[in-house]
Amino acid sequence: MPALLEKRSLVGWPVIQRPLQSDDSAAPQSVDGRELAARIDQAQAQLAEPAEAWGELADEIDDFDYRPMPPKRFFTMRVRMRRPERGRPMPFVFDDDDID
Amino acid sequence: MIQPWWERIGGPGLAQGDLLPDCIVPIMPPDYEPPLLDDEGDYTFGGAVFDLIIITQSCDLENDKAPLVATCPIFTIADYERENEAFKRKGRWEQVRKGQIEGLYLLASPDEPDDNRKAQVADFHQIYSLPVGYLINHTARLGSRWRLRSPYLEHYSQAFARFFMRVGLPSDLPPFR
Repeated sequence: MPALLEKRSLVGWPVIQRPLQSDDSAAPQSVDGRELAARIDQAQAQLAEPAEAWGELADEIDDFDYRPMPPKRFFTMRVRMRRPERGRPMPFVFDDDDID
Repeated sequence: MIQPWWERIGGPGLAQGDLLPDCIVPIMPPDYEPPLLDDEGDYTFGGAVFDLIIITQSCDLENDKAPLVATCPIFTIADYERENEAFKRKGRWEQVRKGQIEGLYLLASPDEPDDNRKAQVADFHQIYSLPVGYLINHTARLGSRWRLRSPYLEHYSQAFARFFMRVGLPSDLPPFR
């Protein structure tokens, strides 16, 4: 049984290509038959190329670099700062006092 | 025609999904060193101006449980594409709309909700916490402003939660092809 070639398409659906030739026992013997088989191989290779490129494109879309967005405007300001105090936890108030 | 995602509101109250244009985010320089004890120092800080949308839950804001309000910046699609050219490719924004690109969330335009090119994108990768007092004063200066309506608000909130709780694996199963 010939192997199936599975390629991933841009939209996420797999594209399954079934090789057109069968097993060796059915290999063509005549000149015309061999020529036909060669052309089938050629056509199959041409079909596989764009599918491969398609798969690479899909991979690229899944994996792209993210660049942080800059602000609308940016300016500098002078600030006067005293020694910062260490932050303290906020008071945590329980709503219910029923728990034993 | 799609339903409006936003409502016009006034007043000082803050809630999750409030759109706050032109907020200033102070940025300390990388080489900042605090002054010595009982001393003062003059420094040059950056001021970055962003349009922000509130992330903090409304119930925490109502009950004064949050002295700092978590926000993330929001951009037009055109501005976003200028910095991230990969998004000019056809189909990219559709991936964002479907929630397939983590950290980005599309919101319909307040003025023209039917026009996808006028939609805005919230960027969960950048989170800024600003003092609640500053934001209340800022809203007073703004006058009327936009607030995200339910159930779009909950959808947005859930998208942020999904982004924040994601877990990366050191190695994953290979993809099914």
